[in-house]
Amino acid sequence: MNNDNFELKLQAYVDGELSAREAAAVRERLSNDTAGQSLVAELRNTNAALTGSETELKLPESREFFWSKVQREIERQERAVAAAPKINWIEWVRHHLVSVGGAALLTCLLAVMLLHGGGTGPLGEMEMASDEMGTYTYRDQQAKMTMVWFYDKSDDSEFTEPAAIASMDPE
Amino acid sequence: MKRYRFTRILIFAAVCLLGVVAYEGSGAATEPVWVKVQLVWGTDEEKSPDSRHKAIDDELAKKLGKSPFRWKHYFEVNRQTVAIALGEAKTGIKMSSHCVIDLKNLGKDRVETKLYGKGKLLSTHKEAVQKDWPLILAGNAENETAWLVVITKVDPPGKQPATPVVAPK
Repeated sequence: MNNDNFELKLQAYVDGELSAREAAAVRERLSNDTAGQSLVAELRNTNAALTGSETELKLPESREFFWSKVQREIERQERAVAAAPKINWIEWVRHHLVSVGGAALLTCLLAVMLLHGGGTGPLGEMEMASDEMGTYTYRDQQAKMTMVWFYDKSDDSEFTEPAAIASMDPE
Repeated sequence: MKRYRFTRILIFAAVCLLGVVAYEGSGAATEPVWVKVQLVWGTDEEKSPDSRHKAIDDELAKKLGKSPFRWKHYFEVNRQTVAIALGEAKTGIKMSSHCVIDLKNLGKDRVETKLYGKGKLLSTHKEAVQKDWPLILAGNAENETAWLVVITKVDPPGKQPATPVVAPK
């Protein structure tokens, strides 16, 4: 066996490609061949260095495969839209009744407020019998009362003479 | 779809409105309104010179105590309770020898009040009356005192849980 063949044999030996008999023959020869031992060591080092550092080669996506993916995605979305019309009753009630009920409640509230008026509604109407008299109107929302206070515009008004109303005699 | 939904809301609202109107017109608004009228005297004196005067109830005193025109003590000079049918006017309600009022039910608890002093019309006031919201017509009186005409809606006598109202003779 010439030297080149032996190196190829060593390469196959390191890669575990030899049969048991050939491997035994190589090991026997290596025991007396320091150059061969060095080569085997170097080959094993090289193998160890390459193991785990080889980058995985990714094949580029073919044009047909790319467009088939797009088509599949479109079909998937169409199926989802077709399945949507299934009625969700809770959602339906929430969507319809809440909005209609809210509008109805608001309308009723407004109607009651308009129809009842009252203390919180429009203010009262006051008409004085004489221009010589004025009023202050005091409206207290918290105490719930409306007070109309009469006062004299002129001191000599016959209408605002204190005794005109202020007789505290029940009879 | 949106147009249909909007129409449905309008129909629902109209039905509710009709219901409220029907309720209002069903009799509640046509029943007579019961009104209590009090003539009150406000003074800083602790006691009234007239033994017939009695202190007003605490609730009214509390309200009057919060007004910008206030006195230390209030005495009820007279009290009248009248029922006024819709459109009816009760005239000549005598509160004192000088003070007379007319009341007219304008509907929906609105009452027209005409206030007379010594036989002369002083003012005409139109306002809704409420049970817990008195309308008070007031002014200065002699010796730095005040007169107050307190107008309050009350329950009919059969429904009143509180002490019965008795008009003075």
